[in-house]
Amino acid sequence: MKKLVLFSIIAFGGLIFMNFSRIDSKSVNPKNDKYEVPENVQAIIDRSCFGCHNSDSKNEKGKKKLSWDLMKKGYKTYKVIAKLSEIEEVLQKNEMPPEKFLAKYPDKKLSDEEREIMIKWAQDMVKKMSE
Amino acid sequence: MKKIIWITLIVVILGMQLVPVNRPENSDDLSKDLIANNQIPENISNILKNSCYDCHSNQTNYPWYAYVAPVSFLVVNDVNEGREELNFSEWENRDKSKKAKALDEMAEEVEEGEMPMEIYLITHSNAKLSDKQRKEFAEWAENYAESLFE
Repeated sequence: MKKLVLFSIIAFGGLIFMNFSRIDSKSVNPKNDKYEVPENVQAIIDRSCFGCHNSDSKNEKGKKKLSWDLMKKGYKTYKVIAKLSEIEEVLQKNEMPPEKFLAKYPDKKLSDEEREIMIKWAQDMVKKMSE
Repeated sequence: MKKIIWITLIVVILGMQLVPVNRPENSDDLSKDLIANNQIPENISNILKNSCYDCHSNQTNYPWYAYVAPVSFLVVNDVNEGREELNFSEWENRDKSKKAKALDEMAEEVEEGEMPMEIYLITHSNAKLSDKQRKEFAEWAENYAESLFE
């Protein structure tokens, strides 16, 4: 009899737990877990992008257009993919970092090789996350 | 003296009408159209048709003044730019990530009141969006974009 009670409690607890984890996995699209930033990409972001593009930035426009910290956690899947697609386009056209900003901080300019790394990474990530 | 100014003005405006204008052509092809190929709620498709499609599709309704210079120059320029940036008649040519990008920007620009453009609304008062419509539209765009990846 004791065994039966104990078993029921465990089973009941298990059901509740499973329910929670189900809700949890449903609220965040599992595709978001596919987002990864290799070290060399992270280094470029930290040096040349993050200063304006983060959710505590004083640059309102930069913050609104893209907050790198929200790419990892915060943006919905479509938004991460939309931003990656925009990053690719903006870098293809060599529009970021802006000229005005580079005049002040020339060391933050991206080399052609660095731009290539970023573009390739954004393209690969879009593919991976769209699957 | 005054007469000369008037005559010059009239001659200039008449002369302007002779400048060739390359009006973007319309097409009835709906094979790649956003509304024709997707299940879009009526309130949203109405917004798209009334407030967006004139510049962002190949189904522009040209008003009479679109045929009179110098206004025609402005209209042609805006329609060209609008179609280039985002053309709903060619929606299905976009891959999922480009759709997501467009929907993300649509939600932002409509909610912030950047679109439809002020100059368009001067002569298209039925294209004006209420705050409620802007919110509904942004919500739809975000949910629709997310549904592409579920």
